[in-house]
Amino acid sequence: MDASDFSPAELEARLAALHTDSFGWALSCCEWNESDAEDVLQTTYVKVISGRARFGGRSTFRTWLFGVIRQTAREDRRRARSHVERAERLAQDPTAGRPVVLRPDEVQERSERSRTLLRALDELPGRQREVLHLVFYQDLTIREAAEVMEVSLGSARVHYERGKKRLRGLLSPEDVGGGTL
Amino acid sequence: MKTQPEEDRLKGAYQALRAEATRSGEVPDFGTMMAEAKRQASARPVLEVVAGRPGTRRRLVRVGAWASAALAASLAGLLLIDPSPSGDEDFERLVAAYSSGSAGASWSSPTSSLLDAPGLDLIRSLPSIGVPVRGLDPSNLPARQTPPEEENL
Repeated sequence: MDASDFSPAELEARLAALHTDSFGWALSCCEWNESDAEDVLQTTYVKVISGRARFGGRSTFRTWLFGVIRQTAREDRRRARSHVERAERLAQDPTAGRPVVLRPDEVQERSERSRTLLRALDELPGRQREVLHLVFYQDLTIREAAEVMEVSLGSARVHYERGKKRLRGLLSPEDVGGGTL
Repeated sequence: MKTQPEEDRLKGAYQALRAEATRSGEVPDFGTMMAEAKRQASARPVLEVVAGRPGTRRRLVRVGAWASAALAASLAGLLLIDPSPSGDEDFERLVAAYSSGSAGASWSSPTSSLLDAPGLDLIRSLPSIGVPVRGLDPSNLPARQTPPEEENL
């Protein structure tokens, strides 16, 4: 199905249905920085409804949207590397650019189990973090995760296995719900 | 089998994280975000096609492609029917001019006079069988005379 097949209302309904998952994915892409994740999702919605990002029907709408979010987050990160803009953003919002994983309010909000998981994920390379999030948080298959990440299925499998192995070393069995990990 | 329980536990941890994120109100309101997205999208429209002149860019590209092809064909033709003589032809023409020129024909070596010797024409001509060499024909020789002492004997 082509993007032109969607009416604006239908497109909006699809985005609304995926909104929570999209924000979760945006959080993962932005290293759990809520402010950045919200910016990325906002920019993604602008891209989609203005037609700058078009759904070609080569994958599911969900994997396509996640791909757009991922690309937008990368662009946003690249832009943020500019020192001038970084300084301006920090001047306007002192919390911008700060990793949420170690934020005190996050420590209050999240359970110990989740905080431990986020700290461990922070140690993982980006690709491993991405594939684990897409599979375990978003319930995607490894093939769908590979589509979102724009890598081959084999490459996604390698990142998946390595990510799990790395997490096993970083987390104790109790950290993820007891038993042998 | 360790993989499946491990994956189940990891999934459980992720799902707990997901549930907390949803419960704690982290997720921004979709309606607000969509309204803002629409405002931004209308403020920055995508490039529109100028009405009444459809396909101008495509036509320009097509004309450019044809012009490039014609130029390439012309250059190829010029290379194939190049009228300028080749190096070999130039050399042949130079040799012919030298051979037929008066300067070349009248030229002689400064030491060529050393080769002029008596009987040179004999050396340069081929002898023919049956024809006596000039000056050596026996019929032309004077008759041999018997010495007077032998007659007296």
